[in-house]
Amino acid sequence: MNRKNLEKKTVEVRKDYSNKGTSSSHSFGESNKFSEQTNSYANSKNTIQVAEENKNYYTPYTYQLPKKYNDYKPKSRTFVENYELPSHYNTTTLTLMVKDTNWIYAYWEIAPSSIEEVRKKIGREELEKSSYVLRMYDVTMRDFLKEGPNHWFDIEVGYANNWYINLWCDNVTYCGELGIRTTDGRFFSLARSNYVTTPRLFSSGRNDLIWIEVKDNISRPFVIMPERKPKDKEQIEKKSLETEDKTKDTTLRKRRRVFLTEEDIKMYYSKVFPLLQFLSLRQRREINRGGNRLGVKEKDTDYLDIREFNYGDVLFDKFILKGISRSEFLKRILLGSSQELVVKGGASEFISGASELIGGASERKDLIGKKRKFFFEVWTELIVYGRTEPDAEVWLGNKNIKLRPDGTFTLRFSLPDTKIPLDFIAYSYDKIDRRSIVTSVERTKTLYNL
Amino acid sequence: MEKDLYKGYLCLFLHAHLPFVRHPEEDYFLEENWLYEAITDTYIPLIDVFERLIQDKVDFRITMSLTPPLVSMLKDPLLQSRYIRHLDKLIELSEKEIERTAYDMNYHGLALMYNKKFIETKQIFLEKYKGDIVSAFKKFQDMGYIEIVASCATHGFLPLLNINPQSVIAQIKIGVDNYKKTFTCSPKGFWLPECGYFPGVDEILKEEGIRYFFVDSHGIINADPLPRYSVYAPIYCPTGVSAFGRDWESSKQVWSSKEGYPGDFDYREYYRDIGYELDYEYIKPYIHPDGIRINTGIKYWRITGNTEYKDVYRPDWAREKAAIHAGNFMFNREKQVEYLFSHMDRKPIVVAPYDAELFGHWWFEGPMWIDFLIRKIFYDQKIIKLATPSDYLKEYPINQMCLPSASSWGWKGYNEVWIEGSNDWIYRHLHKAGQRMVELMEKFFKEYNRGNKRSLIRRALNQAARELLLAESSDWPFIMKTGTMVPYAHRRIKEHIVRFTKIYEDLMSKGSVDKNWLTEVESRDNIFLDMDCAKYYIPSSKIEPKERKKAGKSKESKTKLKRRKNAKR
Repeated sequence: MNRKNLEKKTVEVRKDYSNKGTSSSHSFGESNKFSEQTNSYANSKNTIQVAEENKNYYTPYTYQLPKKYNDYKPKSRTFVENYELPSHYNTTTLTLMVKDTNWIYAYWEIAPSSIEEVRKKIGREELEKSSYVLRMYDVTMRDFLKEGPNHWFDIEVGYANNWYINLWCDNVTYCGELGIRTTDGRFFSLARSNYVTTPRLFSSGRNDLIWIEVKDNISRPFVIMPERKPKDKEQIEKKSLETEDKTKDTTLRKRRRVFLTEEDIKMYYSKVFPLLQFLSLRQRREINRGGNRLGVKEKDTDYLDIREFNYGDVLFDKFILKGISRSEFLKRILLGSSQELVVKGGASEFISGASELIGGASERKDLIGKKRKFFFEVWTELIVYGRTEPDAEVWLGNKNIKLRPDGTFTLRFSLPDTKIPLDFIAYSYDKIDRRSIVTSVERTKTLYNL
Repeated sequence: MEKDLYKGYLCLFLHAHLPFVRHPEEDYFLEENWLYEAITDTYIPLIDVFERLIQDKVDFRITMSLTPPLVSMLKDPLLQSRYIRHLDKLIELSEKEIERTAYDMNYHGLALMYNKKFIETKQIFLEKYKGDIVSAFKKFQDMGYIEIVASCATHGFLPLLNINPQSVIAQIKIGVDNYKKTFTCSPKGFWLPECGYFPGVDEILKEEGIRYFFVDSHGIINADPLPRYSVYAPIYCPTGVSAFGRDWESSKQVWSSKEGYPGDFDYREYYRDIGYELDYEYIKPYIHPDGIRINTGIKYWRITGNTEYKDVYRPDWAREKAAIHAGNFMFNREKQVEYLFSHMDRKPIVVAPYDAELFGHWWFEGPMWIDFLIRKIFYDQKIIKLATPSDYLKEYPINQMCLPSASSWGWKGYNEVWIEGSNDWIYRHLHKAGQRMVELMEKFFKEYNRGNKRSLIRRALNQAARELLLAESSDWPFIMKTGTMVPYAHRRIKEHIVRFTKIYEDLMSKGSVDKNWLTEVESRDNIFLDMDCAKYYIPSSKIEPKERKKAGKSKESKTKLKRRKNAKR
């Protein structure tokens, strides 16, 4: 949403509330009556006990809260507040947020001083020709600062202050840079964003079984191995892996647990460093031996001593990396998301299908009921009213009718297709005079849609 | 031995939450009705169900969350007294209805039913729990029937607050500390608002001693590596905190509008309320004081079908249907568990989380359905058993280690509900305020720690934290997205951000704030008034030196002691 829309909305909302402010001073229905009631009950010392003694349980005003709950008085109305949000914070920032597997939301603010700096460098004329650009770096499994991005793309954003960015695939890490791009392609960065990683759309390709036991303490993660072979013994000891045979679980008996270190786990999950740098290097080298360079330049520093990583070698090759094909892993590391452009081209269809399946709790309103579009209803009610001496007694059938202080009364009945008998009897206060009025009202058969 | 007969577990989870809505400045405030309606329709009926089950010696295990904003409102004296006022009006209306429908046999019974319901509600609310129904849930937890999990301070949607890690930490830590204060024990589980998980949030949960949390199905299914048991067993994050995944099949049966139970034609229709149906003059004292028609809570019609015409509600039919549906739900779970059990080398757990307010408020017969379900599970079968996640972890302490996938239970499964065209503008303000809060604590760290508990600066910092927390609630962007009551959500976000900004600017420029203004704001936004909210925003770099000092002091004192001892010798 741009700033104009925001302002528009703000104005609307303020209107809503200013209207509300004028009308909301009405008191709530019969709240005075209510407070009288509460006070009178609160004054009786032990309200609830009194109520318990009283057999008449089902009267509305039997129970009340103690008085202390009721002594709150709204503070003075002089407290004035505006609802105007700050229009800007005078900083230059860019923030990325994940919307879903394939979308990132970016918002930013550019302080005038930042633009001024660029103007000093390139001059006003050049600045006017230049465009504001959001440069998105794919840094999936890369150390951006050391290695640079897998690839990047530019979005010309004009004078907007936010943007929804569609990505080609899921499970990628991005970092953004907001800047000014001149006509000859120079890029002046104004702000760099945080890193965001989108969730994966499909299930993981790795299916390694690593376990943890949590009782009072959390065990280190372990993998379960068949009984060790003598050959491996030396090697394992060297690598200081712990083993445990004491397990009680029958399914685990005769197997051993090989505990992993925190470092192993970091390596397993790390998307950037240090493992994946190493892994990518090692595997790159293997592929290089086979002659496939995938167009990746190697610097001298890339040649790390493989022996340093022996320990990781064993774990990752034999136990853990079995679930993911090496080429897939490699591609992802080397090329980030871009290689999957073609492969996952149809992903957007999937998400629209999946959305119906995934629909969560938040939908409840739409789920339960449908809004009515057209309707027509007629209800009938019967109002009966009359008057007599204020001190008289009026009966309808066997029900005593409550009179107003002036002797009038009103009755109101829902009137379906039925006959309502109205047999009134009135007595004077001394029961000497008696008057009766007997009538009835009938609503006859209602017909629909003739 | 008997335990071994069961082939799996059902974890029924009820998430009770409402945003913090409390307006002492107005005599009547429409949005406060959310709380009152939920108390009448959901919380008290649930308490009633649990109580009758315990009375009948039916054993059951339910997992629940009562979020800090809800707890704060339920414990607030002003809202308690206003609820009584609300209930008294309802009772009065239901009495008038009894009279009005005297000759209308269709509705007379229903009027009596509502009257009885409201009076009993008042009895439970006031006589039994003295206005504090949180104590009821605490009692059930202490008795071992329900397990209450903690949740975020103000239901902040963590994946979108994560720009400032300190905001996430504060949301979680305040939630946990508030739980400890309310329920006088440490929480074992945690409910991530909207099931909003992102990798790394488990680290903070671990620090707080949390054992488990919940994610939506795809949070587990897309976990890395692939979980062997899908959502039917928990997985451990690398930190050792476990994640339980929602079972989609059982969720659908209750949620879905087409196949779900609540849409049955015999159930009560939510969208027909006498507040809209009856003659204006008659109903006027019971709707909005400005004369706007609103729901009263008295509804006489059943869903009937996909027609505009609605037939009168028949409680006996609805009750029968609730029993049938409870039986059907149980039968499906039995079949599901039997099937899973045959394919797994352990007992599966089926996790079925729902919004508590669905039961009773949206689905009138919901509490009745829970009642039937629990009784049937207890008496009628030996395949599934109700369990809480802690029960399951006790039986199966070894679980696979996987990293759950970032996810939520909102529409489309990720963050779209809370970040889209209608609400994305709020985040630049929320994030900025989050940064500024940390800035404030960096600058005023000494004053905050040294000052008297009621010193102005300390109060101002704590209130700034409260305003930030209230603005972070996921309810506001959710309301903006759904499009009902939108102006209110706009107002709340703005109100809190503006109040926060005022404190920030005053403190940064003048080093002080207007005392009267602060007092008024404190009385309005009084959530966590007895907690030092600002301390959760102290950057860790500031905490360490203090501890070092302390450590240094203790060394000094030890050496002093030694000297004294030596001197004595």
